Amino acid sequence: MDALLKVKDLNAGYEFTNFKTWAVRNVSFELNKGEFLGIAGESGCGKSTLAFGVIRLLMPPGKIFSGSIEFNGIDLMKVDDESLRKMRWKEFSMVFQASMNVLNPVLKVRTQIYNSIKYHVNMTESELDKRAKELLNLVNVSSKYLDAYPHQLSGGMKQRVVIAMALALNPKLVIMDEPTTALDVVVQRRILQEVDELRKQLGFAIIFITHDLSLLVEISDSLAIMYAGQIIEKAPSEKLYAKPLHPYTYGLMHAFPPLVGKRQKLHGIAGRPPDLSSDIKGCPFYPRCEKRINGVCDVENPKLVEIESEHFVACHLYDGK
Amino acid sequence: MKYILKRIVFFLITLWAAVTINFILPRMMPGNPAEVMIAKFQGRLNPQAISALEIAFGINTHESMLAQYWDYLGRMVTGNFGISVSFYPTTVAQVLAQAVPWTLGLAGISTVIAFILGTLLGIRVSWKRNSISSSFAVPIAFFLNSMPYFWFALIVEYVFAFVFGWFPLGGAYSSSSGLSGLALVWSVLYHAILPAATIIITAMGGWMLTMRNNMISVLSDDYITFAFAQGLPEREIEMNYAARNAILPSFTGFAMAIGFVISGVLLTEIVFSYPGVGYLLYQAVLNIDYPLMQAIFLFITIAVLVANFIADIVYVFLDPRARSGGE
Repeated sequence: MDALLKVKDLNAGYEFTNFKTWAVRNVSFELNKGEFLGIAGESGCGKSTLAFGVIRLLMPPGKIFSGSIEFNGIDLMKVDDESLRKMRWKEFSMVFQASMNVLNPVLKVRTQIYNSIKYHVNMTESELDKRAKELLNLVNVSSKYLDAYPHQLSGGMKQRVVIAMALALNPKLVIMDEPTTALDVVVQRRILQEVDELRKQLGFAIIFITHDLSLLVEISDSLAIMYAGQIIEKAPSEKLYAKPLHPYTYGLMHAFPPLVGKRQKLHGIAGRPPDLSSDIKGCPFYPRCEKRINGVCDVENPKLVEIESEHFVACHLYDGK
Repeated sequence: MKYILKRIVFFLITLWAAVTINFILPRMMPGNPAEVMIAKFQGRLNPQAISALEIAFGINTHESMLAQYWDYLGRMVTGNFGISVSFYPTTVAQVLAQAVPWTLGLAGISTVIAFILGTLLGIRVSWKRNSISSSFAVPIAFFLNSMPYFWFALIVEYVFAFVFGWFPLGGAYSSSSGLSGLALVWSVLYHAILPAATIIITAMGGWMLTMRNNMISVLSDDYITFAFAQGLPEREIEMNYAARNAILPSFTGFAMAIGFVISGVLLTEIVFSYPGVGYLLYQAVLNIDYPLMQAIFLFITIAVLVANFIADIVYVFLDPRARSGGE
């Protein structure tokens, strides 16, 4: 299959005058054209930093320390600012975590949609108008809201407008950083399903970031689990769901109650993730792991290896296999 | 439109309150100021001036308070403020009418220039926050802004007008007669340069710092990052996304400043002997010219109110959230 995005040994984080945080540590992954990749993990595990990092949108003090990002054959680390600006939105777009606040409060929805288009392609006023209506239609928002200001829209509508904007130029990749966190569960699911239908219809790839694993298992093609800035397991969704290999993934899976079936006791994962501003010796999950192997896990950080076909895991439990 | 109507009603009520306070205050003062004044001038006051004072301050009349008030309101509406004591026999309205254009021209234009320059600088400095020029601009702005105005104005007047003689010592235009047309315009501009420069230089720093602070808080908002993610040109983000939002709080301050222009240029006009309202107020105080003072106070109040009213209306166009009543 054709790889759209190749990320290799990416290290990124935040640089302050007195300390530095490594929020993304040696992350490598590939994303195929049209693929829906879910990235899940606890808050503060580096998911958002990864999302912003792969499209070079980390604002200072955020910074990519090292690694390579190849998008559609182009080395993103090497393109100059102006070419990068031109690639943005046209090649890859992004839906933000706090989508409630990403619309400029003083500009009409119409102007904001126009802006996202007109600086990349030449369109006449009537073409812009047609496209803007088309886009709102796509996300089930009435086109009468084109002349509304952001404060006149509900949270769900703002979210849909932002998704519509992200699709404005038919990008090859849309990154969604917890886009539905602020919405209620029903709206969350509906928007997610709509996004997935649009993906099948328009053929763009999605990197969907969330802390809510249950939201993703049914929809995404593959899932990557992040912990302490690293990807510790990655596999096609159904494989990961059926057979989580990493003890952390197993813990995450059992942190959500099933909707049907007998009542069962839920297990959380004791402890908390390590501080990302310091070096971590051994496996980052070691202090919290129920299956840790003393003398191995606290000494060497396991590498992400393919245990079964397409199923990658970084855990010493599978060293022999 | 409902909003504008609300502003108009509010404006009228405040105006009425201000006018009424202006009526009540002199009548509440212990020892009527007019009596003190009449005593002080001891017969040197013209009977007409005395009767003007009597009407203005309600002495020696047998009318009821209400009738006096009604009378007073009528005079305010028709602009009849009585006769000036210090510029006798000119009426207060005439004296004021001569001074107002100078103040509006000098201080009004200077304040607008200071606001525009300071705001533009503030945008630039915050956008290029880590550049060398930005790190110089901020302390300089702090220095200019915290300098005592009269001290700065006196030094400028001393150095550039007195020592070097590059600019005139005072006045609004050359007193040599026969100036007309372009020569007169030039003379007016030439006399305005020094006082205008002192106002612009001292006020600009404040506007710059305000705008810079507004910008820095706006720049960390999500819609700025989102604009970058969309690959919008920097200039577009700087102006229509960052500055457009950052100017809102600055703008309210600007409206207030415009309102206070009239009273605020008191020092400028004294230092540069500029024939505006501030200088007039100074004269009125020196000569205990109560009718003139009362008219100037009323005028300042109206100026502040009108400026605020205009600001409220313009704000609606700048911030769509204010249109629905600002929830």
